Amino acid sequence: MPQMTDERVRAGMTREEDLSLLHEVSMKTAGVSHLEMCIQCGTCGGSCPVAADMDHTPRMLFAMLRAGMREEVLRSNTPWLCVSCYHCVVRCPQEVHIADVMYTLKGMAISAKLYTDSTAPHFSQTFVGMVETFGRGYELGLATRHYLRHFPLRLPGMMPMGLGMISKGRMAIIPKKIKHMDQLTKILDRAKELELTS
Amino acid sequence: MNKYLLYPGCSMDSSAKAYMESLNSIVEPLDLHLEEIEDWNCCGATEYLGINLIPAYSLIARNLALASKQMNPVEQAALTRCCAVFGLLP
Repeated sequence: MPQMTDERVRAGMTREEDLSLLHEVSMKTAGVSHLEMCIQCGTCGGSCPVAADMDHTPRMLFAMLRAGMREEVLRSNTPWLCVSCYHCVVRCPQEVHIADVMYTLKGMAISAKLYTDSTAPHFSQTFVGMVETFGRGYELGLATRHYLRHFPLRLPGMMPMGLGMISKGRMAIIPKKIKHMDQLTKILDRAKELELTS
Repeated sequence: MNKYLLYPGCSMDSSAKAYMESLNSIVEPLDLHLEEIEDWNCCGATEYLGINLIPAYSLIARNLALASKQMNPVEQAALTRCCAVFGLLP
């Protein structure tokens, strides 16, 4: 029997399995993901407020990563539904950085163009566009642009809620721009260069 | 320690205004001294991380750099009001 590597011992592996996908996702995740430490206890799915709408619970998704099911994982709606409440992260007995892994999977799905619903990636991209223009989020602009692009017919129905939010001061009409936008633009341009070369 | 350098975040001025009002209402009873980080930018929320990791962290780095410049570490601590922002801080 071949000698098991440390990672395999930690992940409780007893057979020779292809863990390359699991390692790839773990490596791409910021910081230490602890993804290899998952013991499949299911606490994540049980803690998740949106698990009912997910194609796979986080636990299932991690089992699929271990099984090397790249395409199925990247097509799953799970990372896109994650609301980043961090409840699973707080409760995970193995301290797997579940939410961070979800961000990694979103990025990988975008690169591989393997998402089934394009509205969520577009929402992220529109949000990023707002930040790159103003330095801060701009909810009215974000909502309007997103609905015009994907659900134009639903926009009139959103009006009462939008007006209510504006009248209660919970949505600004005019975006707030930071003073040193030039500075932020330079930082982001450099960061994107680094991202491309990394 | 009751002096804090505050990172409010975009939502605190708008959709999460009620949360802002809650915090402001405990400032006096608890004798808190809150000072806002000047010219802070978006924390990136969770949308940036899914697209570009390094730009996402550079947004956070700018906020931390501004905070470290403005902060008096002897008597001030940095404060965020939302677990998502806290989770993004390294």
